[in-house]
Amino acid sequence: MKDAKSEMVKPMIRKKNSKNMLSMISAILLSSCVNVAAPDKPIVINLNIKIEQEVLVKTADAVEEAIDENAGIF
Amino acid sequence: MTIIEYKNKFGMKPKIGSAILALSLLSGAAYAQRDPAYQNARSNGQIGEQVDGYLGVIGNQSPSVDALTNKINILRKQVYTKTAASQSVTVKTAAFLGGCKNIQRTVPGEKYQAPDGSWKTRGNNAPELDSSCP
Repeated sequence: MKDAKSEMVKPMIRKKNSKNMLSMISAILLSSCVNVAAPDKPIVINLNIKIEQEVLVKTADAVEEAIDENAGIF
Repeated sequence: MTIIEYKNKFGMKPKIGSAILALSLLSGAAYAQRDPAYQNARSNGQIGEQVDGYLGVIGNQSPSVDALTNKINILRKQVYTKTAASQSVTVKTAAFLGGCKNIQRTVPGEKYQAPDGSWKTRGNNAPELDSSCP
């Protein structure tokens, strides 16, 4: 009976050990995963292009008006 | 085709027709303001519109053509400077935008400068404009 009991206990321990092993392996695996680090420089989205284009169109209209007013030299 | 014919045939069109007529009359009046010597030099291809908004002398021309070109360019710079100040841009930018417009407004036979710097004769098609032109 005693032996049988120890026999019963053994696989339980083994099961527990294997569980520990698994978690250890997974921990190792996880630690060796690719690390995604945030870039140290801030991400800059450049909206200047559109604004510059709008300014250019507005200025072009003003230039056109000035040309029309001075048609003799254009 | 007269405007009256337009009116009879298309109903809504006369407004557009008369608008075009009024515009062409206006632009005709504007071109009439040019000094005859200047107009001739343009038409003869002695001077052309540069990308930078000023007139350029093509090849070797008479001193009078050179002088005329200089005179007009000085006056143009005044106009560009005034517009640049009111628009808070550099004179160079205002002049460049003027160049885009001046080249667009050349008529067939007149000379203009292509983005690569070479002189072209305006044909019936749209001129070659700098990629920065709006």
